[in-house]
Amino acid sequence: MSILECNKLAKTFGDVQSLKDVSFAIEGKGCIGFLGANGAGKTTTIRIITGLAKPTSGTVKVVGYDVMKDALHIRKEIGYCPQAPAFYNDMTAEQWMHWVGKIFKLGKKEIAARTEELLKLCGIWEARHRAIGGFSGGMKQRLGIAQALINRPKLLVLDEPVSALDPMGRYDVLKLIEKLKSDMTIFMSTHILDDVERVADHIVIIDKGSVLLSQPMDELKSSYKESMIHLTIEPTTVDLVSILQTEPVFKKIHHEGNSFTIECGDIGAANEKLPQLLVSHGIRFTNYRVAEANLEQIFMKVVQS
Amino acid sequence: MIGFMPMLSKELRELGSSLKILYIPIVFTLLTIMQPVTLKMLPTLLKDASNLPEGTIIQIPDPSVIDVMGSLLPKFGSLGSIIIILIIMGEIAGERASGVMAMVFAKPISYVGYFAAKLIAGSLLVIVSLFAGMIISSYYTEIMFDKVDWLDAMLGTLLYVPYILMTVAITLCCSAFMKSQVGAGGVAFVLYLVLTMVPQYLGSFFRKVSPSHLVDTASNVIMGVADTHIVAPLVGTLVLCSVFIAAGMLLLRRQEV
Repeated sequence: MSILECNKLAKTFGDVQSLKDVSFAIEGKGCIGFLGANGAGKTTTIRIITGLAKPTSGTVKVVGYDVMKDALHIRKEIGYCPQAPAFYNDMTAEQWMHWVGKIFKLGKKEIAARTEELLKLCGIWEARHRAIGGFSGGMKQRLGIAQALINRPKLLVLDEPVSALDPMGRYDVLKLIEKLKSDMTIFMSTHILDDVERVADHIVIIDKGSVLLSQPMDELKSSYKESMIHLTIEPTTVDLVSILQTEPVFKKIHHEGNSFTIECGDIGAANEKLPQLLVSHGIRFTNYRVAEANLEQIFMKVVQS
Repeated sequence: MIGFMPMLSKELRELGSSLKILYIPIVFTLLTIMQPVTLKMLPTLLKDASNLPEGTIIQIPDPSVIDVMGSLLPKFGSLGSIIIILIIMGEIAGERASGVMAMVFAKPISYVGYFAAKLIAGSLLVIVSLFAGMIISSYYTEIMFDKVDWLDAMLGTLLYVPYILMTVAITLCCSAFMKSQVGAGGVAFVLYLVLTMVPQYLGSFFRKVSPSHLVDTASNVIMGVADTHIVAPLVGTLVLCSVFIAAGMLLLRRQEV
């Protein structure tokens, strides 16, 4: 059974079509990176998944239940932290956690234990007696994540969880996600690709309201394994670009002076061919480095295609 | 009603932490006490405020305690309702605008439970404030004028409760579907005016069942007027309350968070 399944989701706001075709399915535990540029439809999709917005058409199933029909049941199984979490500002962090615990019908002892555990985990235990109204954006984000975990959700939905955090805060939250992903499915939207690359096991890319790709990270990297060779040569009169263009293994060649970046289809074949060509044309190189495509390059490629 | 109890406990706690439970009864007391104090002080006020030649005698007969008590609720009327609208208008629209509603409805809380908790807490606040105002005003009326029939005073106040509940229900309903709390307050005020004033021009049936008639009926009960027909305006006002409560819940459910 899929933990999260979106099927042909569409959403229109007046004349603007925010979502056109969002379809993907997630199975098992781990972290799912939901990537897209600003305005791609990430937050709208998340609001539909959490039952806060209704799709114009299409369906969403969370742990097997239809969001439109069983919203209350699903809300028992999910934890949600929006991009800018808001609270009742007169409450303290501890009071908020206790209140959320009561909503999930947890016992008093369990609420107290979970509150301590989660506030410590998210690094705001010391501030538990302070009114939330006085919290910084980063502290609210941490509290938002802590409260989303109180019911031990099967699906944790985080909308841009690190956007309001400083570098230390980002590091802490990503570490927390890495720790949590073995116990639950974490669906995390972001446009900070470095963060996703670090923690995500599965990638969903959305652009202009349509899902362009949904693949496990390792599969994605191997299917976009258009590795590159960075090459720096000594000055020469030989036209290396023309030579490389005759070989189909070298797909694209970018160069600036004596520095070349060569996109290759098959890195094995390219590694065999390139040194031979350089030697046969008497070209000496000072730097030869093979690099795999990173998520940013894959993202750009998927979106631009 | 899923999530009703945690929501209600939060609302009641908030009444205390925001000090609403303290200052709203004070405001209501000031509104109701103004009438007996003004009536008592009227000759002195007229004398001090006007430049009448020396020796002028102002003779105003002392109003009876029944007249004073009977005027408490009608004087409270519109101003009290405006204050109720101001208190309630941001209850839902404000939470939607701040984003806290998204945090609430991402948890297992039903729209009915959420609305009912807001309705009960808001109603409790205005009912407690109304009774506080009426008890204190009746007490001072007794000191300044004559003995008050406390049973009639409390029964009349009790009869007035559906009228203020209707104002709470109208405002919460508007707050449920408007995005801005000021807009919610404005629409609620217009609806309040329409529902209290228009029935007077629509024939005897609508006059009898109108909420405004309930205010007159409650005043009659306070004054101990026999032969007061309470059923028709009471039923009319309660029907309006129910309509706005049901509409509010429905509109909240239809609106996106």
